[in-house]
Amino acid sequence: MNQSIPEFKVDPIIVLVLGFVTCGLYLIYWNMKVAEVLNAVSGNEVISKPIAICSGCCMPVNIYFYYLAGKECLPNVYKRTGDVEKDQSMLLLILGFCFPMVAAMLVQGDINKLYD
Amino acid sequence: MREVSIKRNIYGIVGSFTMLAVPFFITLSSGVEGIEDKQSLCPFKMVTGMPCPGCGVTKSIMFLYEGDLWTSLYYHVFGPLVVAAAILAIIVLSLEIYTKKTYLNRVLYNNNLTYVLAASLTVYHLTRLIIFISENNFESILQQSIWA
Repeated sequence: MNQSIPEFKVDPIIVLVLGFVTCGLYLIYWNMKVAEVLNAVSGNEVISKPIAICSGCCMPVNIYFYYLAGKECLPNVYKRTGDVEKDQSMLLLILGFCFPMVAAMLVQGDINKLYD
Repeated sequence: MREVSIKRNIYGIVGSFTMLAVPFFITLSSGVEGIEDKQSLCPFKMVTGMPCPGCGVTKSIMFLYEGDLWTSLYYHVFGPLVVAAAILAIIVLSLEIYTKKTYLNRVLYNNNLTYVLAASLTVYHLTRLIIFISENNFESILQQSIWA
């Protein structure tokens, strides 16, 4: 089931810490990898990778990224992991606007469940 | 490949328009003079005093509107590119809604472009961070945050 999904399992706290310590540099890489995973889970190119790169910390691109992640991609992740399907787009949108590192931590936490 | 989603395209148009309109109205209301000393509105910069990869784009666009390309590039090398990309996005996304066809898929889902963008943004931000740290001490970094 998970064969076609690229492996990207990182401790969410590491995402938060690296995001802050590297002043957003890590989020450039993180966004690229997460876009790959979320597109694979959705079976469709929902998030364009060049756009994901620019959404590291850059507003309003990061708001668009987290909106797409919460609205269109994470429900597919919940379907696979058997979690209750919920719309996280508004929460991620607000967090993505104020603290992209925290939003990234939440998304990573959900993605990690794919590999359990 | 993706399908045309009117709702998503409208969000894309609104986002691109916002990206162009915010610096325009700031320039119109207060001009670019003294912008260097004003508090950045970037949440990361406000909290840490350090720049994020997107810091300076708004100022860069403001100077571009003023016709000052060099100062625009000084604030952020990608500023003029952001303006070009936002204008292109508004045109393409509007066209997609009108014709119900997708365009620029090769560009939007191009892996080589992704790696080139990632590498150039990383190198640029890393260089900027090194220069920023070498030019500022702890106190001046703190002054650029909201904690000063």
